[in-house]
Amino acid sequence: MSNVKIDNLHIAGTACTPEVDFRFDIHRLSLKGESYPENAAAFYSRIISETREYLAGLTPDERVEVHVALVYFNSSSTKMLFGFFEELNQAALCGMRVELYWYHDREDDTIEEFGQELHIDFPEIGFHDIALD
Amino acid sequence: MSTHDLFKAENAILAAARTVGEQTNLSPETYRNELVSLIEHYHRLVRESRRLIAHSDRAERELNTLNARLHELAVAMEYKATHDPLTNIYNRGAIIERMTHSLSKSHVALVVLDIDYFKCINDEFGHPTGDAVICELVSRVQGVLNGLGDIGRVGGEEFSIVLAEFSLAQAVTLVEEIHASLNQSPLAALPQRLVTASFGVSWCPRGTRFEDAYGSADAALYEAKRQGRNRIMQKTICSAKEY
Repeated sequence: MSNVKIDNLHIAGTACTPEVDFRFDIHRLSLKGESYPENAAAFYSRIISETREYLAGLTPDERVEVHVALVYFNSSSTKMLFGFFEELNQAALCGMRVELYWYHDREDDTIEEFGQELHIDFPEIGFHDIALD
Repeated sequence: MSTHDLFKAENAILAAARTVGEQTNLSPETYRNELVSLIEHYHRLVRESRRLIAHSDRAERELNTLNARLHELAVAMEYKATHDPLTNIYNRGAIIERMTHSLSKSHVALVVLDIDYFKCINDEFGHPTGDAVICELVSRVQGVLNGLGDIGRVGGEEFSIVLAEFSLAQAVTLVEEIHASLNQSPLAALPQRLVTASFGVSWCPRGTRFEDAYGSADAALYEAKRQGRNRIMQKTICSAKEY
């Protein structure tokens, strides 16, 4: 466990925003649903800053699981997600084990390929592609 | 700048680089460090832009495919909603709409046609034969119409032909051709028996209500039936407006 206790972050999902369930206490961060918020920068900046704070308080040998099951995300969400994964990549560079579980419908090539691109662009993050039927 | 800017990080880098760039007396090391930082972020920005564009291009392509499919389905649904599945001519709702539309635009000759003794055909030869008779009879009618007017199936063995801007004489001539065609030879679906029809023709001036136009043609049809079937009867709806 980390020294700095940070509250879990839970934001209920809506039709246009994903469910955010960041269980910092068990090092399991989950994003699930659709993402086309009215203001993606506002929606994700809190998520990113709390994640940054959480990662900063971790010991270097900690293992963090990130579960992402987004069925749709618009361009501005994509831009913010790059920032989120950049934080995770930086943490991994500092020695933490970050494992990304990337969920997508087996038929959804767009989401599947986006995951593969994340794997290329953020090589420090362990990548697990999970196709759902 | 908004606190929630999509390019908050990029703008911060840009501002820092600008501050350094505006000064002329800093150490080469400082300029170099700033340049290295700028290169790093610029590289990231290019990479992200490339991904974003590929992602949205792909989404756009999928959207276009779905949109085309949606359009196809809408066209197919529109067809299904307005056509009789057996004969592929207008269904009851659609032919009534065509009639109402035509009556609002011009004078119309309206034909209602009923296959004679169709129930007996069904009972004697079965429904598949009955269906084949309907289809073939419709083909014959369409052959005579040769693209003129609109034809629809209003009931089991009852059909309507809307002849917009036709005079009564023109309509009757056309119906006589249909009548003759049916009497000329049996249908291939029922070679052992001649299938005929009774016809009611009404002529309606522009602005006639659908109910009156149809009622009039239907009354003529009833008269044709009453007088022994396999014949044409006609009626004209008079109105204040003369043609």
